[in-house]
Amino acid sequence: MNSELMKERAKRNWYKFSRNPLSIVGLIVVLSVILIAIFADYVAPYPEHAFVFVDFKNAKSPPTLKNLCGTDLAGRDILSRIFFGFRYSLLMAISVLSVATPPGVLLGLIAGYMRDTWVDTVIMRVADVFLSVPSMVLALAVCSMLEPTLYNAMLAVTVMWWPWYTRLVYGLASSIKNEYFIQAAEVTGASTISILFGEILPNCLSPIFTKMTLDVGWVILIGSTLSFVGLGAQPPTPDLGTMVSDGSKYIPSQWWISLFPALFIVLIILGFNLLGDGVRDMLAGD
Amino acid sequence: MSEELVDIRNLRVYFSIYEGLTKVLNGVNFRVARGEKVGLIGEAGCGKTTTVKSIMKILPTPPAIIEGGEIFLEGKDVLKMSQQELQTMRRKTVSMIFQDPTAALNPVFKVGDQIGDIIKFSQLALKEKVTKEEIKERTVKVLKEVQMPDPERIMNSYPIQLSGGMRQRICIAMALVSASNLLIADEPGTNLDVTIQDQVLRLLGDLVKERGTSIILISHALGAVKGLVDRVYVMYAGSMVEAATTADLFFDPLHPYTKALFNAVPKLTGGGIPEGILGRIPNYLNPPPGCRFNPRCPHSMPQCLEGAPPFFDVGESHEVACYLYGGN
Amino acid sequence: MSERATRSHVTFMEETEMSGEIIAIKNLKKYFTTDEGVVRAVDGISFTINEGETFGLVGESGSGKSTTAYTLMGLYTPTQGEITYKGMDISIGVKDRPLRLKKEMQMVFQDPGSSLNPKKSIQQILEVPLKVHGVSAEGRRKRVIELLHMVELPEDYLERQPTKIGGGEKQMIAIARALATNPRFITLDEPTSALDVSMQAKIINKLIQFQKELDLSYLFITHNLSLMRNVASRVGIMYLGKLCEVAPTGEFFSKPLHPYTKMLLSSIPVITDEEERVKPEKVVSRGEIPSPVNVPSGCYFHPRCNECKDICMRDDPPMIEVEPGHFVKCHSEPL
Repeated sequence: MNSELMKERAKRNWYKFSRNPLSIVGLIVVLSVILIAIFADYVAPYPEHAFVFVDFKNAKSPPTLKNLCGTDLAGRDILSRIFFGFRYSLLMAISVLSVATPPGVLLGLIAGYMRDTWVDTVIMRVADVFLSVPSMVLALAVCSMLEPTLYNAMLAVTVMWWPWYTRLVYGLASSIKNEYFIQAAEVTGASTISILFGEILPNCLSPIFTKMTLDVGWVILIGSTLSFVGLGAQPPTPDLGTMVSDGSKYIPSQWWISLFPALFIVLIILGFNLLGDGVRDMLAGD
Repeated sequence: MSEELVDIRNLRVYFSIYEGLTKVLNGVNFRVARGEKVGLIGEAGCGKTTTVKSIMKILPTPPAIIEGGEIFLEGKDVLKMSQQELQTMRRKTVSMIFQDPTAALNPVFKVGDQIGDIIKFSQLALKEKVTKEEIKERTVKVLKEVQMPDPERIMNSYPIQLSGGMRQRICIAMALVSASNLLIADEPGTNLDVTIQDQVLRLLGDLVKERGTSIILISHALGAVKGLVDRVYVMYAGSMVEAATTADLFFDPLHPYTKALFNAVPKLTGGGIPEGILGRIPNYLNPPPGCRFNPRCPHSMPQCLEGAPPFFDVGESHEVACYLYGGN
Repeated sequence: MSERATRSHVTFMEETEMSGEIIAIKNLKKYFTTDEGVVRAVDGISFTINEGETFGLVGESGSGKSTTAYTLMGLYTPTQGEITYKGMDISIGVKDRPLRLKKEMQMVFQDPGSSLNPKKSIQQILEVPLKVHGVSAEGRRKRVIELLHMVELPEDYLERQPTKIGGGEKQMIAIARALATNPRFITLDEPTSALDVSMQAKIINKLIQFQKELDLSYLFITHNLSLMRNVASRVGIMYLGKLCEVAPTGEFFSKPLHPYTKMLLSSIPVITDEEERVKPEKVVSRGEIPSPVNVPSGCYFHPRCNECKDICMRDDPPMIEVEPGHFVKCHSEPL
């Protein structure tokens, strides 16, 4: 497609995206989080506090101009740790979604195209099994079986995430396959693979991307919950969930140790949700 | 003022979309007398549905913008009516049968209930009370009028259980039951088979004759309209280009577009496939100046660019909006 | 008029050993099993299509004309019966058919809106059949431009998406796509039903032009009988999965024999008086078209037929050749 058309398309997409001002808020929040995560070394006031650092004289001190969010049990600046913590949250989201989505989508395409055959039944019933186990329970089970590390937490969440995409794409693919352009491709002799990836998949991308954007928030939440209960990232890794957990024993007197990490979890999730709404508006009704 | 039932004068309706303003209706003039049956023909996108929806004022505004003109319904301007008056109008004076009977019926309610609702609301408009038994009676009565077999069973069915032809007849029943003076039928039976469409149109014709209701019948199928109406309007790209009695129009079409349209229909008597009309319908974002058919017209004259031609009288109740027939 | 009707159960296959036959359908049946029962969409039909001709198939909802087309093209596999292409048996699904067959048999669908993948550009859409049949990138580029010229659309359409072009133009692209691989036979399922009269005329004219220039054979399906009159060389009319009548076009319209044909022809809305005169005497259509799950006994048309006799309620009538090339499936034959 030539550049004229692409520019026109980009303008139109921005118009649709920006109609709701909250989408723009979401975009700003997400971009900020990403930039802070990447440049944490430069943006954080005390980058050396991120991992191993002790300063017991300053431990558990309340928010001041010097430490905007206060310090934690080891005297580390909470705000700096939060900034580094963004990395782990985003890492969680990116890895889970990039590993879970492709197989989920692929299975959904196959099951949808071969609807009402044994292939459909097998795939969807397996997906049903995974979907019927409560996600937290499944993640906890996987994590407890393996060593509690961030990596295993990501694995656990990935395992339970893929069926949602299968279900989404299954619905889309099974209705698209009845469209005339699919039948035209079949009549011409196109192979099943080229029909799945060349004809059906492009028509599923919008809902998939919208869902991925909205899923980021959920993945981060579940990941934080896992680290909260000790099954995810281990100290001294600055993970937001772990930080909330660390401070939980000190509520309400040293409230800042848990509160600020928790607030930033909320902020990230909110940002991605608002962005996701905007992405949905942008991709819908084209 | 006019004693016409419907008198639309110079209606201009625009739609606001991303690319700008589409000037869909470009000064529509349209009249229906009491008890008269009028056909409205034209191709897709010419503005027929927009026109009739304006009469009932059911165009969503935005994105529609009523830029100018007047719509007199029984002497009162619809565009100036209050919400209350509009509601009464829709309950009492005008009924509409939409194009797709499946989409017009609510799939989760029984057909009998849907008809019953209309009876209830039209009675409310007349400020009369009506009991459940009366509603049931009248529902059965109207179902018999539209020749539904076994009305009692049909009343308790859901739309999905009925065939396309039956759904269309339910829609007709719903339009009739409110005993309005004006029935607007938007392409009734277009989605149905020819034999069923034939039945439906016949039914409509008989019912309208019995009750003396006025009807505006919209269709892009020229032949369907012919058997049913007294007078026909031909519409092109947002304005009426010709109006005449049915006999006159089909016997002696005058507007270049009408002629081209009739020529483009394949004949049952054979003769091969006609040429079609050169060019395309105009882009409403940037419509051609003056007469909108001008770019495609074999008789184009310099005058045609200057302003859209008004209706010129050509004999008894035959009007043509074309400079070939007046305005020199 | 020949009084000596050929009273035998004539099957088309026996008659047509003659050359020039590109498609032969013999006793084709396609049944679907649904929750409500077995749908007999196509219930034993036979006809042939000769090279270079346009065979028209007409019928209302539930007649089975679309199912016939889809089974012919392999999108469905026959429940019973035989389909041959140039003598080769092709009664199998499209995935099992040889590639060179799919090069020669193409289809144009009813709804231009969903005939083209909305997420692809016109160029990509036109390239699909070329890629499947192994044309090089350079060859594809050239052919695609050639196709656009054939359907008289400008080259800058290559980069456009279907949503940005009109319904008539979409259908032109669908036709161009069907012509991409130089087919011999094209099935056209209601190609202009969704379009306006002026667009229809343009497209049909193009189709006729292509037929002459490229020596194509068409199976043309439409419910628009006035159109059929001017397009087809032979017409078959279907009702509830069965073929009621097959005849050369002129005879079909001037001397219809089957009561359903007469009913359908007399319901056509026409504009001019001369057309009105050409229509058979008005047969008021009665009743609804039954659901294909619950077909009537005997002759499927008997509940709606004015000429129904006792035998019609019991026995399915045979297909009889009343005059050369004119076949009727009815118990009341002209004596």
